[in-house]
Amino acid sequence: MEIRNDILDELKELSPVIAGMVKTNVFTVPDGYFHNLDETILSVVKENEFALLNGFSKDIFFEVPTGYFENLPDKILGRIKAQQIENADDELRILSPLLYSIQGENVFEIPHGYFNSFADTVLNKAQSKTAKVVSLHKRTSIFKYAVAAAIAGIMALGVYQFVFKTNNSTGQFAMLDPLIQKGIKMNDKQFDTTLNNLSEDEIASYLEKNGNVNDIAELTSGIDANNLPSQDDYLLDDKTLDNYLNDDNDSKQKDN
Amino acid sequence: MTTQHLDDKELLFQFKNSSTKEKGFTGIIKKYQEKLYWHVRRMVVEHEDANDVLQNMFIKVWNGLENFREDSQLYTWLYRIATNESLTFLEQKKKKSTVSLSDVENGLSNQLKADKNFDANKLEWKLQLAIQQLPEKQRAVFNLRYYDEMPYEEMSRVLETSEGALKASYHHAVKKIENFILNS
Repeated sequence: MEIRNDILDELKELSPVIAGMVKTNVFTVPDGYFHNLDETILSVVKENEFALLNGFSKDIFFEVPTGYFENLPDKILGRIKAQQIENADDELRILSPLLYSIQGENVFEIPHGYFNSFADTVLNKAQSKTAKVVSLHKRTSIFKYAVAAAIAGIMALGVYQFVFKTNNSTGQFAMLDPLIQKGIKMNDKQFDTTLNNLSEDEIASYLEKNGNVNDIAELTSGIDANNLPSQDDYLLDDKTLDNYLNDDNDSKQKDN
Repeated sequence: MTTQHLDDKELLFQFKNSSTKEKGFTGIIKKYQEKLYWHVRRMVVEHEDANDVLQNMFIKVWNGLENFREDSQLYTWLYRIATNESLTFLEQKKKKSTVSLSDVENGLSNQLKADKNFDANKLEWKLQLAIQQLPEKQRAVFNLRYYDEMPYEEMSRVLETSEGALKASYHHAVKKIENFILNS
């Protein structure tokens, strides 16, 4: 096999070893393979086409309901009239008197007073201390929620460490929040302990006053990517958070 | 003049004419079958697999050639279909297999070793073993450049990848193959 000069030169530069090898074909084919290949392929193509066009009987074998054609004009007229009506109620009455007659009937049951207390139930769960806090170091399939919770959980530490330990502008931030005032005087261990005991209200309050995009970016860049779930995990489906919460609640109940 | 030497334009004209469609199609097969076969065979190793892939590929040509826009070369289009069919075949093989990706690639190496003519001491067999260690797409890049002597510009249309990326991939592949041969 001849090789073009430019490709050969390129290969010589990359690997004199490979460039120096004689190109030898190690593969074998059955005798006459190429001689008959075109006929073989053509026959396969024709078979496919024949099956497609001739596989079905031309006899009419579909069934129609009894009286279908007799009722068809009225049905079409009804649909045309329904399209001209804007009122949903009237529309339903014209399209289907049967459905119109049973509208409003609910077959599903719910516990007594369910909707009266639903909002409170949800709010309590959201504010509860037993609500899930996603650890940065736990491999979960809810990456985006983990990051959001982690940011909320360590915003104070991040701002403290980023702002105070990397520059000396302590005065401005300390004035904004008593937590930071206290934090300045602590070592990291004391700060961690205090941080763990912070309430959601305190964190939420801090975020309202001081959270900004740059802090979040700085913090997320510090997250150890090795501990994060793979992209495939968090792209699995939208219910990953629900599944995670349900799984963890189940395991907690078992522990109790 | 044999059909194999017919101009692509003429073959396409024959194909698009209902009275000569089969003649044009057969002409295209005869003209490109060997080049495309060996391209596929180097990807999938086994003759039976290459035969299946090649036939599927030409069936797609039959179905799609009517809509082929002649703004690109016919053989570029054919190579693209052949490459995609080969890559799809290998992907499906991976999915059917219960073993890991690296074991599938080792499976192709094992198929090479099972060939009755296999000789581990011969450089050409070492080269084939080395090629099978490459990821599928990189394998295609190496084969197209090394065996088919395809310019990067054409390869870019076949693989729908930038020329720069292809160049980097080829250079990387050559180094990997060289290391494999020298260390085996």
